[in-house]
Order: sequence, then structure tokens, then C-alpha cells
Amino acid sequence: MSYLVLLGGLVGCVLVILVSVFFKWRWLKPLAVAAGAVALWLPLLSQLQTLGAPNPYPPDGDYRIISSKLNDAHDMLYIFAEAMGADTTPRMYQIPFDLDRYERLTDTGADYTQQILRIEGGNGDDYDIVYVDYTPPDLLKGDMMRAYRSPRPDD
Amino acid sequence: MTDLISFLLLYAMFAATLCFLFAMLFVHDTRHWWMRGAVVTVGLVAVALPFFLAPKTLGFPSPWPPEGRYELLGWEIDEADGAFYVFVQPEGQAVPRHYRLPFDLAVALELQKVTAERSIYKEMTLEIAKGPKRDQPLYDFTFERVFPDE
Repeated sequence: MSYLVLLGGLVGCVLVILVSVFFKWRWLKPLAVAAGAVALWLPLLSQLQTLGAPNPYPPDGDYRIISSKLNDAHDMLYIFAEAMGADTTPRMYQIPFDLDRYERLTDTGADYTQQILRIEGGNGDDYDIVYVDYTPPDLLKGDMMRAYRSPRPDD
Repeated sequence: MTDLISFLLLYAMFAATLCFLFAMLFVHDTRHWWMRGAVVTVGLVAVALPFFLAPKTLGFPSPWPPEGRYELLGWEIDEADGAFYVFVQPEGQAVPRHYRLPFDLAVALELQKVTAERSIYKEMTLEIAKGPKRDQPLYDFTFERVFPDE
């Protein structure tokens, strides 16, 4: 709620500046400068308000599932996951999901040792979510070798 | 990292639009139609950009968890970053939250043990209290076994 209030405040501040630009009222100019200075901070403050809240727009991609929770009263699935290929900080997403789909998903997920979920789509909140058979990259393939095994110049 | 960079880029664009509007406050000749059009367009962009900024940080952990009792739904131990990331459900609320807690080796070992034997626990709770600093709260994990005598 406070997030929306802050964004509403931002719209108000920009409107004050626009009115001041077009109407050139002398008394409004200091107010417009103050509104601009406040407007610079409002998006940052609103970002701080949203930290810890679930993201309803998960980007397409593969995710390592850490935990999940279905709110069947609201048909909403909350996923606590780490995006593959991104940084290691986990994220929390929310996706519209019903109990039947959730049970089917958890049944198939039990077959995998590494629970990697692929999320695609998202048009009209209709996400396509499947488990994928994930094989971790082999870091030792090719001519790679441990540093301690590499030949020394005097070998 | 990509999220953070795109967040910074969008914020820089937002700041630039506000700077343009600031400059127009002190330009007295805005009679030309194209100048008026530019001011309105930049004003609309300044209003719209923060709405594109929001999804860039949504879902990230909050380092300032409020005091209270939570149902523990999941966790991730990040020793390199010196943090626990917890996925918790506040009491009486429908939407879970994501918090960052300071790392503690004894707690990390306990969490690792619980991860290995997760099925023997029926209730996991997290109690957060005020700490010495806002981003260093005091916390206590409680794990209740299904069969307490074992």
C-alpha cells in the first residue's frame, strides 16, 4: 500500500513541475524545484518498501527450487528459487496456480534429484511450468586440469 | 547482477528526465509546439519509468525483517555472502516474505542437519527480535520433531 502511495506522490510531483513549466507562475517555481528534489528519491523509497515481497513477473528461464508454498485459497503459488546462471541470491516469485496443477507438478518433481523448474510464458498470467532434466556442466572436460597437476617450467 | 544493472540504468534515465524538466523550468521560451510536446513526453516518461523499475527488485530479500514469529518454509545458506536467506510466512498473513539474516556458523550447521532429515520435523518456526543494528536482528530457529522422544 505504502508503495502505491509513494508512486502516487511521484506522479503528483511530476505534475507540479509540468504545471510550473507551462504556466510560469512565479510562486510555483520554488514548489516545483522542491517537488523535483523529492521526486528523485521517491522511486528509491518505494523500492525499499517492496524488498522481501514476491515478484509476480518471473522472467522466463530455469530455476533451482529451494522451497515452494501453495496458497490454495487464492490459487497462488509462491516459489523460493535461485535463477540458474544469475547471481546466487535467491528470489521469491508468485504465480497463479491451482491445487490440481500443483499436485501434478510435485508428483513429477519427486522423480528428479536436482529440482530445476523451467518457467515460460506469462501472457495473461498463464505460466507454463515444468521440471527439466538438468545435468550440471562438466568443468573438467576437455584439457582442463587442476592447477596443482599442471606441469611446472622445470619439469 | 543483470537486474541491478538494468535497475541502475532505468533509474539514471528517470533522473535524466527529471533534470530535463528542471531545465525547462528555467527556459522561458516554451511557445514552440515541439518544445511543449517534448516537455509533455518527457514528463510522461518520468511518471512511467518508476513502474518499470519495480519488478527489478521485487522478490529480492529484505535485510530489515520486522520483529515477530514466522512459519519457516525454506532457507538457503550463503556462507560466502555471510547470510541466511529465509522464506517465511508471517503469522496471520497470506503472503510469504523473503528475508536476509546474518550468518552464524552454529546455526548453519543446525540448518544443514535439518535439511538432511527434513521429513522428521513437523513444525519449523523463526522468531525475530530487535538486534544491535537494524540489519543485524536477533533470531532463533525452532524445529519441532514429529516424534519428540526419538
